[in-house]
Amino acid sequence: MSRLITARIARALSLVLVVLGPLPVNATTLSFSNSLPGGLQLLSGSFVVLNQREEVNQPAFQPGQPTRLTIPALNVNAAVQDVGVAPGGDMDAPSNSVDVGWYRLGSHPGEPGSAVIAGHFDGKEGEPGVFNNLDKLQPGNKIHVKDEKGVTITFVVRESRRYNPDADAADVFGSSDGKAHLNLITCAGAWDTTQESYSHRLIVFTDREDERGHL
Amino acid sequence: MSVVIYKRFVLLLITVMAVGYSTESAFAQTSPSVLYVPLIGITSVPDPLALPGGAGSVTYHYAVKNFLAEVALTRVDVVDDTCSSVAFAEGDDDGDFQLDYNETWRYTCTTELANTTQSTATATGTVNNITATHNAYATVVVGSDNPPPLVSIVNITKVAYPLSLPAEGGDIAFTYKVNNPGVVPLSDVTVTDDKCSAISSKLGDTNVNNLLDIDEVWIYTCSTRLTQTTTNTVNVTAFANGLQAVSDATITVEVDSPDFPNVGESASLRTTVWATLIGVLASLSLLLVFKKRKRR
Repeated sequence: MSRLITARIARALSLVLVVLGPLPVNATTLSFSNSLPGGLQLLSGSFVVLNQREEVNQPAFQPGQPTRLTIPALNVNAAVQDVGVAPGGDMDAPSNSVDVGWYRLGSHPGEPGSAVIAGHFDGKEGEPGVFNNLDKLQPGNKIHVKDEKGVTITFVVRESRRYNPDADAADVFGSSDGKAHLNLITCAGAWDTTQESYSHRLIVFTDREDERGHL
Repeated sequence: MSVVIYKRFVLLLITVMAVGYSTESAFAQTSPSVLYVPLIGITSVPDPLALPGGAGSVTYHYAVKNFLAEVALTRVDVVDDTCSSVAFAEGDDDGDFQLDYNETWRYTCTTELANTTQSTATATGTVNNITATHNAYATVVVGSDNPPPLVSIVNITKVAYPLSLPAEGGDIAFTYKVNNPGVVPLSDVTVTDDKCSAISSKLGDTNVNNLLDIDEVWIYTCSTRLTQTTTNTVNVTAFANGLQAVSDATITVEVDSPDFPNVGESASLRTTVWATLIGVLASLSLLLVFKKRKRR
């Protein structure tokens, strides 16, 4: 009797093994170095000739909190969670594989700087995550972010890059050109069993498109 | 009348110091701490202030000072974008080629102007590999009797500054120091910061006359919380003899970037399931072997 039970368990297990496929393997780790200018900040000033001072009173763009991200080219239509920093210093990940996470300590999508939104490559049940096909985005593809005020801002893909997970992320989370960018992050590469993480991070860099369709 | 006032060139200097968390910098100090930074100031006064009769020769007189008593400035230099032959005149009293706190280095430059011209003079000086820069502006009106716009009655500084915050951000306290290195007391001094609204009331009005006298330094503070790299500008306005003096200073506080998020999980699950299954299989095998041996 016990032999029969054991045989059934073994059969069931082997079926599971076939479904799961082979064990994941480590990938070669690429290294990136993104140097920053020494942590120096500038204190600067300027002189104003009083009678010639020109006041530019354009109302500053105040985007609301992002609520929805759509990427037509990938059939992505995801709710946006706001996330911060995990205890280890990583940007927090969204709590599930279908939503995306906006880094709330950075820029809002649409305001000058680099807003960052991350999405899972895959989920806990093995299902494809919201950004499973992020690597298929091509320059020129459009991304739309709707905020809590109902305003939709469009971004256009400029380029994609792969980073080592430990690489300096300063150029992903910040920019100094005074323009609005949105950078999307997901995992890529092969699973590293030691690190319990994929071997790379895929970053899609985008630029804000204005109302006339210009970058 | 106004020309006379210009020649007095009331100077208003605002310096910005920050108190906060400093990390990962060659200049890191125990936090929180007061960080001293090199400050250099320059004034530029043209002579004459206007050429109502048309084109002519103008001589710019520059005065450069070191506003930080603790350190002397080295590699001091002055350039002017409209006058190429800037020459040192006097001021290195002890002849050590360093701009000491109690020295005023004077430079001159002469050029021909055919049109109304605003020039920018830039002074630079270095301390411990930190370079301080300051601009002074002067406008000479050519071919008009209209009074010229205000000349460089305002001083401002530009210095390198070591200050940063961790990725989750933190509290920063700014300290603003306003002084009047000119010859006329300043009234109605107002300090505003575009990213920090809770500016304290002033300290330093020693004779409590509400005028920024030339021997006073008024100190203001403001605290705010920053979560991302922020450039903020502080403005100061004041009045002297009916003229308004304005100055501003900008500081950038760096907030570290977080590391990349870990946004992949199924492989982790797969690994966990694999490990579990292998463990179960191993246990079952051992159990079978144990039972077989027991039967024998």
